[in-house]
Amino acid sequence: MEDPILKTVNVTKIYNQGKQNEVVPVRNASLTVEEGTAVVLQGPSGSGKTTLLSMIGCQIKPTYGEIVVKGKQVSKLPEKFANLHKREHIGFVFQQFHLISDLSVLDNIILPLLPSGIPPGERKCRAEELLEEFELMPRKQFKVKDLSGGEQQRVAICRSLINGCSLLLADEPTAHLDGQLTIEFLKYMTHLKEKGYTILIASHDPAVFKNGMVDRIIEMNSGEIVS
Amino acid sequence: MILNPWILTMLTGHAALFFVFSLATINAWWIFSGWDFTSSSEKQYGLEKRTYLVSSVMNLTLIIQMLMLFLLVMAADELAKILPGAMCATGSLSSNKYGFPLLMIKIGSFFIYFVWWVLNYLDNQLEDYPLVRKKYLALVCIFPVMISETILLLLFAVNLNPTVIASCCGSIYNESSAGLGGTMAGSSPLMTLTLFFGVVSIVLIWHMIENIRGYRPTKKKGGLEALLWVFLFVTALLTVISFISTYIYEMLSHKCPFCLLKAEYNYIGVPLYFFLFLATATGLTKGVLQWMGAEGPLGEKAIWLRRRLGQMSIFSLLVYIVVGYSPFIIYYIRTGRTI
Amino acid sequence: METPTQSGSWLERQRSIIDYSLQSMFRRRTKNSLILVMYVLLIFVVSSVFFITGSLTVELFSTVDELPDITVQKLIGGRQVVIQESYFQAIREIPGVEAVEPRIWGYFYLEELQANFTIFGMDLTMLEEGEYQRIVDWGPALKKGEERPEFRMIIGEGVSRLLKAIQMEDSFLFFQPNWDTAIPFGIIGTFKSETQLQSNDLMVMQTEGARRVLELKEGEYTDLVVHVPNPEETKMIALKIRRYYPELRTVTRAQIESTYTSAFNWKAGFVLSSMLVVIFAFLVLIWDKASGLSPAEKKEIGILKAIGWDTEMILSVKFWESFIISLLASIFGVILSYFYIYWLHAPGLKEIFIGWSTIFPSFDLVPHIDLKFLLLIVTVTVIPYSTIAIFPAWKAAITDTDFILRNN
Repeated sequence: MEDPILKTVNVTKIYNQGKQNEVVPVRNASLTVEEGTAVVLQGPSGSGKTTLLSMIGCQIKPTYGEIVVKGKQVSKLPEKFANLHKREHIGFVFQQFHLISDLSVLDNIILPLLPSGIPPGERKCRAEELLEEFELMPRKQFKVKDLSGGEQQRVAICRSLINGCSLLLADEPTAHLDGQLTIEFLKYMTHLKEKGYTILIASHDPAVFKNGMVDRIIEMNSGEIVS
Repeated sequence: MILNPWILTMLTGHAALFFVFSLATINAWWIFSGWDFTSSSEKQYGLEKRTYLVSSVMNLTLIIQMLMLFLLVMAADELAKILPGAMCATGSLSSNKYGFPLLMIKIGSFFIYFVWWVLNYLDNQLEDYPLVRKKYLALVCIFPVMISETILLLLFAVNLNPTVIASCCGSIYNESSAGLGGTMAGSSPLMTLTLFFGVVSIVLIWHMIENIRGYRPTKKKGGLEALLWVFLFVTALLTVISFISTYIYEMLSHKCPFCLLKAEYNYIGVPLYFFLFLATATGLTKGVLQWMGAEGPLGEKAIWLRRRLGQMSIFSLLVYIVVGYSPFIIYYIRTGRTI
Repeated sequence: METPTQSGSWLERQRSIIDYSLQSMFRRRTKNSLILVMYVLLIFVVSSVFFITGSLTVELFSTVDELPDITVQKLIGGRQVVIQESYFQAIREIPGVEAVEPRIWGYFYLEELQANFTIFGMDLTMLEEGEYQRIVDWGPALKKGEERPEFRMIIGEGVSRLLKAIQMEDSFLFFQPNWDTAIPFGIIGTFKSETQLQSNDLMVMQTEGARRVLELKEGEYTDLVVHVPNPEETKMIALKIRRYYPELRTVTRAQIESTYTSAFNWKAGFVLSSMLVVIFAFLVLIWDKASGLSPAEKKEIGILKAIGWDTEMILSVKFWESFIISLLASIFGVILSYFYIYWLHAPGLKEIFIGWSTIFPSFDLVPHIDLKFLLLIVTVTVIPYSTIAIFPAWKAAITDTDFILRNN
């Protein structure tokens, strides 16, 4: 069998270790995700979903444990190399989208490509392909702050995909969307899954984890994986 | 001590240099003593962040040191106007006993910073930072050089005395005068040229042999290569004094390594010295890299880096030769004779 | 272990970073223009001082080169007194002396204008003919001078301007209360501005006329000037003169030169040292502006790091930002100070440097710019700025991503 695209072994995150205010948002989390599947991390807020997802997305380092993404042990890498791996293989959609609001849609989308030194022509080409795919072409030159919530999320998705990653992580993607937009979002996710992306979503929205495209649900509670 | 714009500027620039370098040294010491790669503690994470500070500071140090080296020569040249008897930089630098040592330590420290800078670059290419503790220890060890440079600069500035008559380059780089300058100028051009081009040929042949399949680099060869480049640097300076300068000034008696940096001679010294320094720095570093004898992934990366450095050093050396010897060739074509 | 590779070239990467830096600076234009203005001001002040000292040094050294090798004066009771003709012959016979020239000069204080003029007597035909002709703007009053040749003079530009104010631009009346009659002088020309530093307060007149104004008898001179062709011998000859005639004092060119320069350097040094305080104050101001990261900026850096930018990238952005701002500030600052000094004639600053005579009403500075000055300006301003900018840049670059993640 092929190696899983993502594997975590006993991942633990401790903030303020050894101090009075020690917090352990994630404890001994082990999971594997196979290539091409869609998995939902489900659990109430405060259950550690976001922290675990952030560790997988190389945003923060685990205190203990191993994380292997695309065959590379990322948990111990120095920041520079973790970022390099992240830049090449992982797309991350934040709950708050985290777009730079006074930049245009196009400029926002190409941001992840700047450190790689990809020529401007190719950057634009890749961005326009994605804009086409996510029906944002008419909004190309708009400032992000002038877009609606749903559009902003689509921009955020485009930005996470532009590096040609194969693993897409999304943190509470439907928290700021109404029912109609949630359906639309899931439609896009289904489309991406069909294209071969591996998708890992942290969500407590039933509309998400009950959706047909989801292959597996991993339940978390108080920092531990329950099932 | 003279309150002169150039002296004050040099002191200001050096103060900045000293400040950043001290910052780098303190951080280097913290990193050296606290580094633990296996740990995920906040402390280790903090130290990792400090490595970026040290890197940026050292980039800046290298640039500032390059400017300051240039500034020292320019300042010495300007000071010659104030010091009676001094005609150019040589006069000011020799007006007290700290001038030339200051210049030498500045040149030396530039090369040291360059080597460190390349090592840092090499180390940062690898995920486990294999050289991390060694390089920061090395940085701490370089600090005394910086301190001595600071002391020399202060002594030089304080002892500049406009009432003492200095000598000019005509008397220092004069065959009949005693001392290092006189010996340097007195050595016959033929001899220095033979020496210089001898070393250049060895370097070129060495470069070719290295590209032959089956060549085995050893630590000893690396050390030898580094020394060879230092020697090349010295002989190159000798040829500037005894040969190149005569064709730039077109005067047999004017032998000075500084005047050619002036506007009167179209700043020809600027590219000349730039490429000489670049060639020496890269060639020297290449030797040092081999002398360290890295193995494993570091070794592979080092081989790649050495190839790049080698190309750069040979290229710069050739540019140096073209820049330095074209005045002679032009003179020869124009007049059909040598000076 | 596989080493990571960068797709795309280093050059392309820097270009993207520069693009981004420009865009980001433009987006925060209020803050950045404030920094820029302060920075331009700093560079303006620094380069003004350098330009003015540079120009003055050039003028000063063109003067010093023409100073006599040895000046001989007679002292009685520690005061300088007139020197008699009898000394020439003896000094001329000292081996190594090429020529001895007696000089007549002194000062004339004009109470109405509270100005002090330097009077110098010489054979004006030397100026009217030959190589020195070009340093004088010859006036229309030449004819009047020719009528009474011993009472003609050439004046410096500063004197000319003052005299113009009292309507005496063509001729000037010398008078002292103890004189029986006033002595009228015809002004036949003005010295050109290249020589202004030395000639500004100067009145050069025909020897006989000068004798009358300075009340010197026939055969008496102010001092003697000795020409020594070989500079190595100057010191020895000066020593000999003093040994033969202990009542004489000798001043060599080297002595004057270092007195001149050290006086001038003290002035420049004083201004510069006080300028260092200004530089420091400016830098603190700029640093304060540049180092304060607004929450929006901090968030932006957090976002960039979250989408895969590493610390080095952010540091490069910061580096290019300070580079661009330094470059712009240097260009504007230098141009502005060039304008201030050579078009506006440095009002305010000039008075500090030209304070060794009571007049010097105006003073045209001759532009003298060497590439060296740019190096000086960069060293005094940009280097300290980049030095202090490095710390806030690093602080910004190590911003953690988890604060934007946790900040829900």
